[in-house]
Amino acid sequence: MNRKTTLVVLAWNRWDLTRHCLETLRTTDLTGAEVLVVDNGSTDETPQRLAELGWVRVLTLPENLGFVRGNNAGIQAADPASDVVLLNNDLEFRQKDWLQKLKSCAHARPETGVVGCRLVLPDGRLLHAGTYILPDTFWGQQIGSLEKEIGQYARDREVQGIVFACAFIKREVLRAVGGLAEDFHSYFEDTDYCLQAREHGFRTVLCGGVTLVHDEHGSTAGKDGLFTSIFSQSREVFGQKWGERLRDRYRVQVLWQSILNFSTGYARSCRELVHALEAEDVRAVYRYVYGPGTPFPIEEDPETGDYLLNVVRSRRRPLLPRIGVVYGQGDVFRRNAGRYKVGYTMLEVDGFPSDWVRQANRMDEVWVPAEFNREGFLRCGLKRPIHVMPLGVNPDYFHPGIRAYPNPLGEFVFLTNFEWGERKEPWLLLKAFNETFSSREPVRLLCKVINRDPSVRLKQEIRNLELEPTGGRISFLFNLDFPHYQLGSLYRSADCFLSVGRGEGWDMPLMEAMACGLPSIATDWGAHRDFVHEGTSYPLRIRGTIPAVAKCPYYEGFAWSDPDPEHLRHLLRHVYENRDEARAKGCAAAQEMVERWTWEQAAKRIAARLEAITH
Amino acid sequence: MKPSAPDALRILELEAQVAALEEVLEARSRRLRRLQRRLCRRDLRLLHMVLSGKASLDLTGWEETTQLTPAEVEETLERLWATVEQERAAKPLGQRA
Repeated sequence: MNRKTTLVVLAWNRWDLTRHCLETLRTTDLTGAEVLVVDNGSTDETPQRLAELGWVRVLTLPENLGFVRGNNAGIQAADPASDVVLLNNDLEFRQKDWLQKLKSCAHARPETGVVGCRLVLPDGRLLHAGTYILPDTFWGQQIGSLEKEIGQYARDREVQGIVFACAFIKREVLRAVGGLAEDFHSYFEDTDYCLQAREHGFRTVLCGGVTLVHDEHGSTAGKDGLFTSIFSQSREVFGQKWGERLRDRYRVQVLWQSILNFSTGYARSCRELVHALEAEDVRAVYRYVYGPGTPFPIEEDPETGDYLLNVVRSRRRPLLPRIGVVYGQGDVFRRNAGRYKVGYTMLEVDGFPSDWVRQANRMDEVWVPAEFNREGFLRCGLKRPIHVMPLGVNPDYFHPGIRAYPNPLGEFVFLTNFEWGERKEPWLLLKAFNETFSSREPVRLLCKVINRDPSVRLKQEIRNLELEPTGGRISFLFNLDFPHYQLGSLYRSADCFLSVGRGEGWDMPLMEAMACGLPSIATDWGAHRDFVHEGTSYPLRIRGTIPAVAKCPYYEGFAWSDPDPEHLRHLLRHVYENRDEARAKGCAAAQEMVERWTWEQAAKRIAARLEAITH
Repeated sequence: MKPSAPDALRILELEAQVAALEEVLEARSRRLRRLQRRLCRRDLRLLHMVLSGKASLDLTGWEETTQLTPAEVEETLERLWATVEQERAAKPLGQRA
């Protein structure tokens, strides 16, 4: 694409910021671009200093016209055949090919109209990977904000909006939409523009391959009163303009009854599902399904630590919700307050307790994430329609390029991540690893272990295994609570992931590790067989099934697998000695996760089913 | 046939040694029975391992708890690998642990 680009840099005073911005900009590849600095009525040394620069064109405005009108003046002055890139003067450019990548992204598809990029703060934290705004609050949110920069959001993806600190706008969009809406003095004009572009058939994309440093609010920094005033005015204008249209985008509403604020599999997956459903234009209203009178009687903290989840949690529940989904254990299905009742559950053994089946038979339909669960329910007497609704993985946090901290000694690291208990069969794994390898070999088993059972003395249990000091070396990360978004970094720091327990209801850690490109060894039984196969992992043979004897009362009377320790020892040694083959499986796993198993795909299935129910 | 004087002396010496060993064994059995009354089988095995030098993992710095501790992946792994490096430096690859 040979089309020219005009880079419009808006500046108002703060010559220190503008100078640094331009100095770093000049070191990058500006092939096919003209730099146009719009001096928005500066009263400091900015006009004189700009006049001294021979390599930029300067447009001097007689007074400060504000962010919107200032940028519009720049757009007007740009070459009418060029694309335009709007740039804040508080940016720093460290990536040489930022412009060429934005350009490629913009012109990759004709329907792409506006392109933004990742922004990081000067201290290195991620600031922005796209934006979203909810009609409940009209308070735009920057995705990924204040997270540690670990290479998240590295792919190109469609977003609702971007901040216009850096906005590549194609000429086609400028012709269709015009300049920025002058309803706004500053703030909200970026989201407004992206929504307008969408109404004209153009999508907004976040280019994951470009990262710029943004000092944020350079021109209003230190002027809190000014910022608040401008922000509030713009917010009101935005709400009046877009409120109804944003509310009208929802295609279906659902009462989502589940758990959000605990470190359990249901809670973690519920958080992801609610986010994904919102992105699929499903309006979820949340209700905590546990609490007093349920098998988990603890009250839930209303603060989720996540803006979108807090908003969803605060939505008023309709008196008679059309559709209610209980996503949790089957013995709380009875708390479903929907007129059309869906029960969504899973279990790690080959059947479901009679009470769960009884409650499930009072639902209008049942959802389970895997074929394994569906078969188990039918075997136990479920009479209602049952649908397989797989869970997913987030490829923005779990991908092969996520930042890793590998063992500098070059040891081959097998990693496992589990809660200590009978189902995970840790004794099998620790013994098998210790027996397979020698302490003289550069290999290690890293166990990230959680134990919340006060009756379990973990150190004692490990000592009782009488592991050989001359056997394979094992390290433990014990009861550490990592931010979930950083787990990809943990997985990428290892060479192979192990999930060799007796049964899984789904197995999110395994899926996440596979999405990170890790080869894996996983028991060939249970729900994760829906995504574990020879092409992407090493299925671990079982010797058969055995009674599921455990503290968990739900397992009584059912069976789970008996993984083959000899085959496990063989696979451990095989992966260690055939690393190219293992790496290839890991790559195939990552690709398959993105193609088939994302939360986006999970939400699409749910949204389609909810719409079918509604109509 | 009566033993010779030197043989008789030797027999006495051996009988005395046997008696002493029996006393030691009896004392040890009494100690073990006392331990058995107080310790479960798992702890008995552990005691045996420690006394016989077979305790394998260094878990001494590990605090038994059911509480979760917030942590960052980068810092945690850096600390872990530094520990691993020290461990390897003390017992390089190729040597018995």
